[in-house]
Amino acid sequence: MMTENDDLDRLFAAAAEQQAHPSDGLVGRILADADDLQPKPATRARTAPRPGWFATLADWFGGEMSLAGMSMAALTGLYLGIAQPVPLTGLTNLVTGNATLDSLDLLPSNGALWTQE
Amino acid sequence: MPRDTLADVSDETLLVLYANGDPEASRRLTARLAPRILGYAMRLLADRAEAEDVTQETMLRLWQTAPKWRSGEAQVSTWAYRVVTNLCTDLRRARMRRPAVTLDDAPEVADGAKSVVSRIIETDRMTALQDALSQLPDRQRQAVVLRHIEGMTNPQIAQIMEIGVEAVESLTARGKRSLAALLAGRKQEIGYDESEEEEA
Repeated sequence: MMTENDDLDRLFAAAAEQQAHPSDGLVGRILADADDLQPKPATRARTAPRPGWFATLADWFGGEMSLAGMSMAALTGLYLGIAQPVPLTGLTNLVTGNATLDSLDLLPSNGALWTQE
Repeated sequence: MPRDTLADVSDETLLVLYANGDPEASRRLTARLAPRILGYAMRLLADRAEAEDVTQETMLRLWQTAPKWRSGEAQVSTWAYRVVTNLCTDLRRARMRRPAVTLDDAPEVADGAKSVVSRIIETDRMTALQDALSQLPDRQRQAVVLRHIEGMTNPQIAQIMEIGVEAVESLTARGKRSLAALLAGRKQEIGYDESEEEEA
C-alpha cells in the first residue's frame, strides 16, 4: 500500500524526468547575447607610423623648408669661415678690428693728386 | 574547436573556450544549461514568460562573467542556479503573482510513446504539484525543487542558496511536509493506483 510520501516521491520523480524545452526564440536571443559579449581575438590596431627624427627636427624649426634654409645658411657660413675669400678679408678685418689706416687704400687711383711738388 | 571534441568537455572548459573566442562553445553551453535553468525557473515562478526572461538574463550574466571566471571556485551549473534563485526571488517580490501554470505552460513530457490518457493524467499531476509548490514559502520551494526535482545534493543547495547544510535539510523537510499536506486534498488527482505501481 502506498503512503502519501510515496506519492510525493513519485510525483517528484515524474517532474524530474520532464525537461523544459527552450523555444527557438529564446535560444536565438541567448546566442545573440553570447555573440555580442564574446571577447574577440585581439587584433593589432593599425596606427600611424611614428615620425622619424628628421621629421621631428623639422617640426621644431617650422617645417622642412625652414630647416632646409637654415641648413643652407649654416653651410654657407661655415664655407666662408674656412675659405675666407680675398674680397671679404678687408671686411673681416674691419669687423674684427685688425684693419689699420696704413693698409687701407680708400682711393688708390687718385693718389697722384695728393702729391706735393 | 570541432563539434565532436566538445561533447565531453566540462562546463567550465566550455566557458574558458567561450572567453577565448570559440564560437561553438556558447552553443554547447546553451544546449546544456538553458533547459535546466528554464525548468528550474518555471518551477519557482510558475510562469513561462518570466522564466524565459530569467533564463536569458542568467545566460547573459554567464557570458559577462566568462572572461573573469575563476577556475575551481564554483561549478558553472551551481553558479547558474544561484543566479536563477536570486532573480526569481527578486521577481516574486517585485511582481504581483500571476495564476499558476496552465496546461499549456506545463513542461512538455519528453516521452512521446505515452498514451493520450496517461499524458493527461501526468499533466494533471504536474499541475497539482506546481500549484502546491507555488503555495510554499520561497525558500522552502527553492530547496524542495533543487533537492527533489533538480537532484542537487544538500551541499550544492547550500552553495546555491548561500546558507548552511543544516538549514537546507530543515527547509527541504518542512517543504516536503507542507507539500504533502497541500496535496492531501487532491489525492484522487495525483494518486498512483496499484496497477501503475506494478508498471513502475
